[in-house]
Amino acid sequence: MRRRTAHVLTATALTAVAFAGPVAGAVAAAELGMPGFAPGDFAPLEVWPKSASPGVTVTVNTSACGPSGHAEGDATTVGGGRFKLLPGTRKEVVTGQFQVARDLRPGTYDIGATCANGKFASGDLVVTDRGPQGHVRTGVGGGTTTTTDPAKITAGAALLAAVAVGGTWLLRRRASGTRS
Amino acid sequence: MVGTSGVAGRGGLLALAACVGIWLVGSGSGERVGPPLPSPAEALSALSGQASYAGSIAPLPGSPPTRIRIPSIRVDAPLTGLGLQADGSLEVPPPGRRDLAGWYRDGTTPGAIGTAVIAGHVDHATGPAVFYHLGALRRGATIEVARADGRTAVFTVHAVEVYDAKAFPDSRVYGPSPRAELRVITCGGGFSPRTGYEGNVVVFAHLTGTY
Repeated sequence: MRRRTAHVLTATALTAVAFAGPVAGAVAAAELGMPGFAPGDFAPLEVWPKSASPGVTVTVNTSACGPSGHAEGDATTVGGGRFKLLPGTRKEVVTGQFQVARDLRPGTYDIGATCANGKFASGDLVVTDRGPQGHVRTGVGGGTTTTTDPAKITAGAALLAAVAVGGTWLLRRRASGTRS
Repeated sequence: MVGTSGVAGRGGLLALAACVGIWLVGSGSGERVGPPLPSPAEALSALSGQASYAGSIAPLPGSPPTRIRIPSIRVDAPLTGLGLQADGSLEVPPPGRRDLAGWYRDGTTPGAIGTAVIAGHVDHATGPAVFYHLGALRRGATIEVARADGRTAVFTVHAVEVYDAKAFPDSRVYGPSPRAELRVITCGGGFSPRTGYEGNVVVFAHLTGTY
């Protein structure tokens, strides 16, 4: 609860700073004990997945921190706490993960990250209780074929005919009482 | 005595020949050939899950996938984004293109932590489609997913299952995962001309490499 309040306060301060201009920003930042920054320092934070169900792990990345930078992420709005963003596969992009609380209500939540260089990145996370469910209709049957094998049918018919002839011959011999 | 047994022997031979003849005619006149189904040996088990955890590697950041490649069944297909239908089921790629597969665009991106979902048709009205041979995959097979950021996520199959449409295990297939996993889904599990495919073939894989 305290963390959430702190986050809201920080966000409010940042917003106020954004409107007040660079000079006031530097003053406000100094008061907050944060590094100075200008209004243009708000950078986008990429959030994946675009819509998360409660309980899933979310990955965020941003190029706001510069080459080999790092950042502290804030996902307290969704019960994900604070997390580290470190250079990932590309040096200019920092990336980090957090888990969305299992009992979170659907809605749009703000996720933030503060770079070591003082820049701030934020992005929206849409939390939804609607994910894929049930089976997938990925076929109509055009790949199934009912094959007929004329060779098999002919062979089978010939065999049955031979059986009929042989059977008749056998019965006749027994009826006429012939013994070999 | 010899004669009687000879007659009985010939009778048996005729009966056997009759059976073979009936079988030949029967099987020759109506054999339904469909897409391959996985053997029970490829099923999900506690062991397959554990063994694969050991091979987990660092996940990739989020980036949408662009192509799926499954060398062992000669799949190399572009990916389109899929949403959800009104009933909550996953959309399917447009039926016009038989070489196209899709990924659940609101979900985890393949290579990132979580469960990414890819689906494709097993067939179309006129013949096999992109995932026709999915049911023939075995444990250990490789699935590669190329992404928009230029990276490729390499997954290793740890199970291939068939689920009945009436009892589809949502949480097992779509549920969250603490590591980077992938599901590849197509239709399967028997076909009836009246009701269509009875279920889905689902391939379970986990991240084992990136480049």
